[in-house]
Amino acid sequence: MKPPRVAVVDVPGLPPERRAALAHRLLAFSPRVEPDPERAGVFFLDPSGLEGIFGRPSKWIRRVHGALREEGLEGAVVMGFSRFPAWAVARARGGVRVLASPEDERAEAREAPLSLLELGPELERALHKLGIDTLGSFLDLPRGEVSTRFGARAKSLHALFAEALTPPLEAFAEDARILVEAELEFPDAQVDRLLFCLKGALHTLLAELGRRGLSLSSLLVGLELEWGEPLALTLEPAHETRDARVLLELARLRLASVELRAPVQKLSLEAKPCRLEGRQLTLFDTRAVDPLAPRFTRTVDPDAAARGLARLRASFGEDAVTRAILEDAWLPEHAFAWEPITHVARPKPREGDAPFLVRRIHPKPKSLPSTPDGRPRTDPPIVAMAGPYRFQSGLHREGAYARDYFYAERTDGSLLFLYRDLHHERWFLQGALD
Amino acid sequence: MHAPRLIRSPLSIVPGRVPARESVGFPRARVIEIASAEADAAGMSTAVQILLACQREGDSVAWVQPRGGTLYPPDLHAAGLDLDALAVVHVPPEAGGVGLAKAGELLLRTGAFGAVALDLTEVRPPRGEAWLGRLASLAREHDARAVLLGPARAAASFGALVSLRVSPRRRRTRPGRHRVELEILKNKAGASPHFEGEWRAPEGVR
Repeated sequence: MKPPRVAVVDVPGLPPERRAALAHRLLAFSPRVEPDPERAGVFFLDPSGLEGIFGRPSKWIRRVHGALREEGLEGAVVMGFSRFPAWAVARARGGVRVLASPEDERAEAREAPLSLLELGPELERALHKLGIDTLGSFLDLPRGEVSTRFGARAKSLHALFAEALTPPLEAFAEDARILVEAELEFPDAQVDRLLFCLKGALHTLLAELGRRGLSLSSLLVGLELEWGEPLALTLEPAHETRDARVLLELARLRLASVELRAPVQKLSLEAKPCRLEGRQLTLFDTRAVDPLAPRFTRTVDPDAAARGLARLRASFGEDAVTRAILEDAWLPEHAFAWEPITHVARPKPREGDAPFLVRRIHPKPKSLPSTPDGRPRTDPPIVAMAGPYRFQSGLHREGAYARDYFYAERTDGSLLFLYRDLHHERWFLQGALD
Repeated sequence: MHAPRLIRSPLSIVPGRVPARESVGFPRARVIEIASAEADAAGMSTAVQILLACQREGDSVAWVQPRGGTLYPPDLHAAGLDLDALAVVHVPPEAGGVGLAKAGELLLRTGAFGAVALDLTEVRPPRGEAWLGRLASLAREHDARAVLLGPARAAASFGALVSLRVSPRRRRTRPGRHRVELEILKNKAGASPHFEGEWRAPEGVR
């Protein structure tokens, strides 16, 4: 016998305002719950892997049904193999059932009256005129014809009920705020003592996340000061976690870089919750043992790199760790941008190129004085110049520029990269070879 | 009867395979200082070549500079570096040299980087040598290179824990082509770094 792959909770006529509360309640029975986006009282649950906790499937669905009754709701709970056929069975037959096989599910679903399946009054009426009143007779229609005669929505419903379209279960994300507050006995600005207080609150927060089967993707630390504006710090671990040590280390790094203008009298921790995804653990230290291997001598632990980058962000700010993106622009200061990163890719450098002398470029070019004959003046003086290389944009647009670039060699051997701004008739130092 | 003799034989190297510890001659597991004492120095270009060699060995690399630093990624790309595998850390100016050293430590501590370059040309380095000690021990522990770019025209080294201190100088050989020669100022690692062949320069440089 095949194990069931999906469970459907069907509560016809569920008020929309109770939908979120019921979804939360169902989370106690499965970590993956998808409220149907179109039908307010329909929820799909992933029942896999829960036998160890709840026992046989029949026991599990009875407990789910019991939870509905405790909420004062009447509904059906059906465990089956495919989402929409199982829902058709739940809607048509009701009750608490575990379907024996996909074939049984299909056969029972075909008997379901279309009037119960929320197809929409227009489609229902059109099908009724043709004498099509059950799901089976609807599914017997060629899908191409359904599309032509009744439109895209009818085609999509046909595919869903016929199992031609089996979208993956999209578990809803917990959006409830999980907030813990801690008042300090005496206002304090000493980082170690603040961390100690934060640690206690953090354990409470993580326990609550654990109770809900959730993890944390970021942590908002609020510091209410004795006087002045409160501070808010965001900590983002390398990946979702419930590890207090990781979060405390990030908090320590962040607090060390923050200047507290007044003692803290109250702390608040707010978690941005997310699903706790399983991760593959590394069994062996896979560092290469061949000292002569010319490539891949270091096996990067991506988690270690990501943790390190998270520490850097905590220390120096969220945009402190970046990679360079090349932009399609002529001006050197616009030819690249910095993009924040959380991971570093495996390198794929070009091979075989001759070495290249690189330039240092000042993000803000430095103004240079001119000699009476209009040449740039530096100390030591310039002895030779190569250029000009003109970069010019549209003449009448906003931000238009016209620059003549030169490489200038000074008497001490420096090679400067400078330009003359033709609009302002001034020299600027853009950078130098280094 | 002859006294026993110590016979020295050259290391056998499999053709086509370069010992990873000595690629471009800059040793791993060491602190390397690049002095830019002269106006015709090629400090940043040398650091980029060390990072490129690390990338060719399969390692990710990182560059640490003060926010608003002078790194110019288009030239790094022209040099052959894979910019996606180069983490660039921007340290707030108020953190100074201490912040740069701290960032270098955090990067080396991960063990995920083959080389970390700290651009200390425009900032005052931290006092004392404790920071150098930490960088040196992390570089040793993780078999990585800690590359320090020294302040322009600095006469002295950052400290005794620097294993290799070089002063790269550029010399024009023909229009658009240069050579970079390394003057070894300190060598505790027994390394013999050198560059062979001509270097390209950005378009327009004579």
